[in-house]
Amino acid sequence: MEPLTDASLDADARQRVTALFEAHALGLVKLAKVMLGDQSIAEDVVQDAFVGMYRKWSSLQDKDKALGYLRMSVLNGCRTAHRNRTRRDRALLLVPGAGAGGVVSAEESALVGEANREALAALRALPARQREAVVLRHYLGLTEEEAAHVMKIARGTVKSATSRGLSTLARILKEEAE
Amino acid sequence: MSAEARVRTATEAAAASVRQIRPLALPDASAVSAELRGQQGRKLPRISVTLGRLKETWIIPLGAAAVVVALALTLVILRNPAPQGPTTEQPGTAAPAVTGIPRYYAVAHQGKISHIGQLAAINLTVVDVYTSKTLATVTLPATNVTVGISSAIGVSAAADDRSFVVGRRDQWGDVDYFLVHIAPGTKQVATVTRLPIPETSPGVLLGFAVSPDGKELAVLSVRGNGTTLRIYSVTSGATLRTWTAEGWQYQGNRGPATGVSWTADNLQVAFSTVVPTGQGPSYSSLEEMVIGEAEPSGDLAAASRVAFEAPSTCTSLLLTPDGGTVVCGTQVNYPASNTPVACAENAPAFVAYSVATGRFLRVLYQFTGSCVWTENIVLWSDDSARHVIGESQTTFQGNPPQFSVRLGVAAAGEFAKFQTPVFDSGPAF
Repeated sequence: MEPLTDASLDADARQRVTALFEAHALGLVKLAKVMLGDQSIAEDVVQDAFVGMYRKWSSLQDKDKALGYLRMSVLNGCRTAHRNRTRRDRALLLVPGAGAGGVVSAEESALVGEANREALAALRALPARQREAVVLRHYLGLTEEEAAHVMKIARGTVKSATSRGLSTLARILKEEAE
Repeated sequence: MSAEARVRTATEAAAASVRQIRPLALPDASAVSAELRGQQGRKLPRISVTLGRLKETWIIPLGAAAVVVALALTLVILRNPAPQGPTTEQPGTAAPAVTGIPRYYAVAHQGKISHIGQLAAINLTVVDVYTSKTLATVTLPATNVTVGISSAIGVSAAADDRSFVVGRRDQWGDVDYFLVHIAPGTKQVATVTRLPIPETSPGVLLGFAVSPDGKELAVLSVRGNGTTLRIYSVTSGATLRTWTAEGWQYQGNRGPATGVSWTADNLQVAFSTVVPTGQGPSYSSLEEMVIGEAEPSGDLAAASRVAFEAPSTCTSLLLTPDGGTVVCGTQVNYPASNTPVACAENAPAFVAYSVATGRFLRVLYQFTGSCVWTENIVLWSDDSARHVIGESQTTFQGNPPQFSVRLGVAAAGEFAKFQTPVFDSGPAF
């Protein structure tokens, strides 16, 4: 039997993280894209999450829960990216969501559609917790318990955040329609 | 449209615009080790500095906060005493042994009828793989059906694990399609929409598959003028491509909805064709063909290419989403002897082959007991073809012979079975 060395442990971590990337990266980039609206930033966030997991692989307690850990990391990354972009937009006196991150390609414009873009803009204008709760519940289809686990908050808080988020969204979309 | 529906539609549209991502770039192991050593070296001084600052400025407020927290905890413990005796876990809620497989699958089943032309509805049941519990049962609009032939001709799943397309055939052989979308944890768990694809009579439907992004539907059928593959737009119902191979007349009696799949990038469609190897239907083998979704309409034989020539024991093929591997389900058949046969000697198995080299890669699972007949059907595979979901139909020796259908995950020599309701078509993952 071969002894376990740093090199063999690293090869194992590299292999398993790469396998996880192949299995889940696309879905996580989609999640981050929904939260942020910019694919390149979404990919950065997801790359950071996987690199972070690779660095901490040896100390990861339950490796079967890697997907949950990655979702948490991606949500945290999205929060930071969203905050940084808001700060940048304010500093440059830009309309939120405009600038480099807000440019919409022709293909995306055709794929997403005007009505959906309004809904996405309204979603991204929600406070972070409400936005995350709405996306986890209604895009990923997680249950309240699963969303609570990913967001590290109580189930009741997920319920109230989702409800408030949807009420606000309904109000914004109604105002826009009028 | 409600806010929930608008959010769902908008987020799915935004997600669908992501088609390709750049590969993972992990840092060098030496850089990570050096960084970790650096962090360990820095840890102690940083902690002592932090503690020093805390002592100077925060000792009083922290003490007050600690008292408040202790008081609150005492009150909570007094109000909610710990339960007496051991707690038991809810049955059927354990996480699956394998992660990364789709969580939901769908099967279709038609209600019983007694005469030709009777109205009957298809029930689509969506089941949670993790718990084996039914998430939702959706009833499609009833149609006139014929006795002995189920109108539920197939189910296909999109990559989002939330969308399923169901095929329905009426007594005249016309086929239409329905989209069932699930939203677990919400009030309306499942919605059903009839797709705008025109009702057609395709002849014998060999299989269909919705693209991973849920935007296109590939339908393979055979009739007098040969084998035809059509691509429809799920949103508009328009026929985007039609290819026909006039020479491909015989397609055998392979099971429906198991022969067509898409690659994960939505750019290629894979399907199985039967190649005669001698006289009679018993002398044939399968080939896995691949065609680019953007190829212009025309000759199917010229536009497609052979990705894998399967051994004659393979009766079901599936190309992995990355297009790199073909998984084969094999058949063992001794109907004439009807005596116990050591199936292990004849390899009823799920086996992976490389597309690039055509070579054998691994056996995912092999049945080791005795049987008279068995057929393995590949339903889903991950990219690496290390976890495969398959259906294993086996007839065991007995009087009368015992027939069993098992559905499960084949991986590393094991077959982790899960429960299924009664179904006519599917399951689709």
